[in-house]
Amino acid sequence: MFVWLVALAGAWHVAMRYETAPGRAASKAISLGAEPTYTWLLVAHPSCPCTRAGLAELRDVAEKHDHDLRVKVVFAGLERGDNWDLAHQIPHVEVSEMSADQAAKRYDAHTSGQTFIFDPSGRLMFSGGITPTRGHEDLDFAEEIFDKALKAKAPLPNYPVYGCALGSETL
Amino acid sequence: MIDLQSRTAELHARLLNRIYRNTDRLFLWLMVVQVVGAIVASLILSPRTYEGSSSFIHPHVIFATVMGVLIAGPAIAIALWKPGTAFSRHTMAFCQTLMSALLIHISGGRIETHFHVFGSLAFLALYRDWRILITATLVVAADHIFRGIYAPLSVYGSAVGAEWRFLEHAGWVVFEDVVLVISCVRSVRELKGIAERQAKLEVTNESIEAAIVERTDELRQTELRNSAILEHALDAIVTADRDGAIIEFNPAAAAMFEMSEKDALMRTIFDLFAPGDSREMIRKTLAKEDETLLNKRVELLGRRSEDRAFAVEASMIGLTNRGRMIYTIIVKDLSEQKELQMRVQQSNKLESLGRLATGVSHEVNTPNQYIGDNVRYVSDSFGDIVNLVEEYRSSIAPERREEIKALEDRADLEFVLEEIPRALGQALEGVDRVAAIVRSMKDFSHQGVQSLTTLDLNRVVTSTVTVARNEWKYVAEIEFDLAEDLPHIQGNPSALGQVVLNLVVNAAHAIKDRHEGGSLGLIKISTREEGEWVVMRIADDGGGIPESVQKQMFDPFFTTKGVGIGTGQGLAIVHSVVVAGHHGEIKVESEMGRGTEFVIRIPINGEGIAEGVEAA
Repeated sequence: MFVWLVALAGAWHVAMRYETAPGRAASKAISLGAEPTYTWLLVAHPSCPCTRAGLAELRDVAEKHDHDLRVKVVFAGLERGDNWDLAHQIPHVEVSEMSADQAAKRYDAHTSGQTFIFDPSGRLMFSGGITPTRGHEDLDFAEEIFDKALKAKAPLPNYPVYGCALGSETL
Repeated sequence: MIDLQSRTAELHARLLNRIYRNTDRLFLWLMVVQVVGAIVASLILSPRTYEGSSSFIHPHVIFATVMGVLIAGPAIAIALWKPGTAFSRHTMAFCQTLMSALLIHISGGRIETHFHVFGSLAFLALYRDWRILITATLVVAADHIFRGIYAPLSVYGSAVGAEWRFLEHAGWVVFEDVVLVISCVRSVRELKGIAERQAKLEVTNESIEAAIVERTDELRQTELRNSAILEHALDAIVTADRDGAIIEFNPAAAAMFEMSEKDALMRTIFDLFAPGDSREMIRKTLAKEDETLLNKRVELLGRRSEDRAFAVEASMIGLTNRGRMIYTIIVKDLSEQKELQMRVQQSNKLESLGRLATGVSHEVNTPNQYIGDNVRYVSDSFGDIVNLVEEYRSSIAPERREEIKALEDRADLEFVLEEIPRALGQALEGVDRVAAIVRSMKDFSHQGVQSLTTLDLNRVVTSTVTVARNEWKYVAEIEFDLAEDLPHIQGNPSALGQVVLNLVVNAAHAIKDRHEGGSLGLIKISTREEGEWVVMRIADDGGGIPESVQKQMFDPFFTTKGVGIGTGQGLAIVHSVVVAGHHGEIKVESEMGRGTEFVIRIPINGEGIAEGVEAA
């Protein structure tokens, strides 16, 4: 009985560790050109199941802020996975693709779900993941981040990113 | 005897145990399905994880598999090896709620997956044991509290308000618990009611079975009694259906109708009765055209084998058996009774005749005696008169002799003197014959009032033949060959006289039929002592008796004589008196055209015949 309970607790603990272990987040300061609205850029692996939650949250935010938000999804990988269709369900989304190395070089993105929020002047206001743990969809979490970015005078602190490794060889 | 209370408790426990075991088995399969479901869900939601273009099985799939097996394993093992126990039920409750937790975790805390908890509670309620709902609720609460604190997203899908959210979830769970606990308690109560009804039914069945056993035993006893009655009844008891087919035939019937039960069962009841009125009455009774025979005693003529009729008294009962009418007829053989009646009548007749004969013989004997005496006196005196006449003749003077001779001639004296002694002799002979007849009549009449006694068979024969002279003297002569030293026997002289009379009369009738031309036949009567027996032979030179008739001639009412001549009782009485009454034997030797001889053998010592001869 005891062994069984320990086994259960151990298995759960391992699972929780995996789910709460973040990937490598972007650390370089990047910027974007001036835009009329805020820009939300999400770098995603085409097939990473963990990123589905982030794409769903992004769609929810984009639907709520149709006029004051520009959404860009960059796929770090040239194949067309399940996430490609999810990305195209986001209103007015701009989807592009590039190699994982290019994504790493241009955006310092190494983990699927890496998100950047830029203000209209192109200043980076937020960098990090928009899911609280790996694969967990939390619409409030994303909405809260965007609200903070809108109201923030200065860039927000970075958030951990939960997702599959994009596989870039760039350090 | 079943104790209602303990039997109710036993049945209740058995019902609950069956439910526990069945639900354990249900959960066994449910666990298997849930593990498969968890793995499939994880495969759908996150089948693989990626690192660039490389992919691997997603740790969620491994987690779902490992956790699924860890949760379901003990439940399945206990369902297999320890089913129906409280431990198995609580283990199921524990594991099932952990399964809910796993699925909620795999779905990322989706609120829809929380319905699995409510479904699990409903499934657990199938046990009808409200206690395991507490176990399940405690596990759910503990899971929500623990994960609400340390991994709220895995249970609620959101970290907002996770610390107190368990209260909301627990509240709904408790709400469902209340409903399910009430349902369980009521269900258990209903099960107890079912057990009590079942126990009452069993108690009732037991009492019914006991009553059936008792009743069956009574029926068996009744059947045995009925069988014994049928088996040992002195009267024939025959049962037939409405078509007359015999369906029951007791041993008395078999003896009475001289027919085996096996043969009877292939025949109809009509075959047991003489054609004519008797058979017609049976037919009408079965056809419900005549109810004379129903529940009343009626005299009919039964029918034995070879068409031998005999008097019976019958009564019939009609019964409905399984919707079919059956008839039982009880038949009593009246042959002996009829014979006895006839013999009593005959005896009465003989007694009357005897009294008459006694009176007549007395009246005749007295004048016959003095007639005889006077005739003898005259006869004796007549010789003196003849001598005197001779003296007178010798003393007549010669001159008057012619005159006297003429007078003698005119008076025919010589003829008179010659004929008178002859006439007187004939008169004496007639007187003696009258005296003999009177003596025989006295003997015969004396026999009529006697019963068992020591008797001289020769005297019975001679007196009977004398009395019956009128029956035979015109058709036959009788030749006696009676043994002089014939020992006396024990018997009823009246009955034996009747035997002799009947046989002599029959012999005379047989001779008359043959000697129609007027010539006299011959009847020989002899008696002899042969060992322990006295044997009497009565033979005639009549036409003889056909062999077919010989088989039936001793049956009552059987006769070959014309209407008003024969009653069919003569030889029946002979047979009855000799065989039944005196333990004797009868043998008949007859040759067609030559005559018949009846040989009657009577035991000399007559042991054991006292009652029989009285009855005869």
